[in-house]
Amino acid sequence: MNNGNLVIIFSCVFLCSVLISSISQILLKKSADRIYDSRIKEYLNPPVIIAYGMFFCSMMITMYCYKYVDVSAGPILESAGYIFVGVLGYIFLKERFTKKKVIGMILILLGIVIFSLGGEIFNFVTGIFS
Amino acid sequence: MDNKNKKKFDIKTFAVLHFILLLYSFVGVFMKLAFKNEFLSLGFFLFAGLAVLFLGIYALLWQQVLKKMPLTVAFTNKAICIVWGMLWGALILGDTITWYKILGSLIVFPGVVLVVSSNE
Repeated sequence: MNNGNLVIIFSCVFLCSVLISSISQILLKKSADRIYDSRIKEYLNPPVIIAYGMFFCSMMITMYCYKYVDVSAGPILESAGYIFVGVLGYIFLKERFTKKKVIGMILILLGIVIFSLGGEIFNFVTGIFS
Repeated sequence: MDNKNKKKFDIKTFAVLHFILLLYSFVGVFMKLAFKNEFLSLGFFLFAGLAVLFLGIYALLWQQVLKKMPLTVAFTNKAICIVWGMLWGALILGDTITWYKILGSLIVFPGVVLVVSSNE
């Protein structure tokens, strides 16, 4: 398999890993909204243990993906988490999308793209006009 | 959304959130420093141990923050780690700060402020 295909495949695996991490956040929030008898039970309950297990797996998968995915593309792929958490939060936690929240998220995604790929974007744009 | 999350969250929760995000921003730096040392050497264990410690404190306090804040708002604040990561990368690892990184950070910051204020 050529390197280009591997990059695409592991970028998709990376996104799956971000989705796993996002689902783990929903579990953590579901657990945090419940009332427990003691502080220790806030942490030692099935949703939290499963969520941190998923979070750990996600970290391991992400680290492996960096073997094939460019470091500069990492923050962009990770920023998919804001979309995943936003959509999953809307579905499972009934957290609404307000206009302000959506504009804020778009700014964050735009900022991360410029942060990670600013040089490439600049070269691409100047290439078109030169 | 429950009533607890509809209320404007207090400044203490917000301060705790940003304290743990500051800790979280060090995890990547410690992991990079760990892998700069020989695998399983003392330096490796020192930095990997610090990464695990910071990640553990982050995980414990993150759960407390989630009790008082909507997940989408708390999670979106994580974007601020990109700014911290840029600073630690430059100060500790000798990475270069480019104008694009500064511009990207300047765009991320008002985005986070907008998401946070959307809950008010």
